[in-house]
Amino acid sequence: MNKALSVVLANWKEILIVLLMGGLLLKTHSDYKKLERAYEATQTSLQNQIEGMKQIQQRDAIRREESLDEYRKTLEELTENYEENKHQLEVLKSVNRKKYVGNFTDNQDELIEKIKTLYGFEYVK
Amino acid sequence: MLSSLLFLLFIGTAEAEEVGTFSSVKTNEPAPFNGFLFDKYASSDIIIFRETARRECDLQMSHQLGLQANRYKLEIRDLKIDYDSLNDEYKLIRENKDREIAALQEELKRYSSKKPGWWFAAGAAIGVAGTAALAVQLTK
Repeated sequence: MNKALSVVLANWKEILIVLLMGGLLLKTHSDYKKLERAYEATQTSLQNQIEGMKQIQQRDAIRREESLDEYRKTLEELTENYEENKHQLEVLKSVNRKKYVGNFTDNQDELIEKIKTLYGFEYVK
Repeated sequence: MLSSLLFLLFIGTAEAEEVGTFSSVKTNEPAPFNGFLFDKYASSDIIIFRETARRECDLQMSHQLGLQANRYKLEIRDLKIDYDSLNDEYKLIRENKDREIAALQEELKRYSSKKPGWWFAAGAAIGVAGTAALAVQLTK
């Protein structure tokens, strides 16, 4: 026992350095673990964020597609409606043209009245 | 629809091919004044033009307004989607950051000393002892 104590006393500086080195190593390891845990917490947060972003983007893409479909559908309806109305107008024009052409021989007075009403011209015989 | 199309085709073959003609006349030649003489087809077209101009204009205008409204509705929907998306992203980032902060605070609490006074005292004692030992060694 005395021998061991004398060895320790004789080499206390070396023993102290070894102990301090050991302490430093343990502290570094502990700090590294702490940093690793902090990094894991940040990593988990970012992964959750990426997953959430992906879901938001997917939902957006679906909504945009639906919106575009609605636009296309309305555009189709508008065009169809316009074409139908235009066609009806063309039919009306054709019918009236035929009627007025016929009136030139059958009912000229009506035509004269129409021109007077539409343009305000004075009829001269 | 089909009947009107057939009717139009019928009209088309009967009347649309007849192109109106006109000519100029001078006073008593045999017209009462200088002017133009339109045949029945040209006169009919002139009457029809006046009769249907407003309706045609209204039709064009309502069609163009409809197209424009549709485009703007699409833009509004897109902007709303953008807004919702940015709002959701903001909420997501905020929630995740809150969680991250909470997790980091928890970690910090775990490693923080519960008795900082003792740690300070121990550190000071070791420092003093070390310095004293060093001084003793140096003065030997």
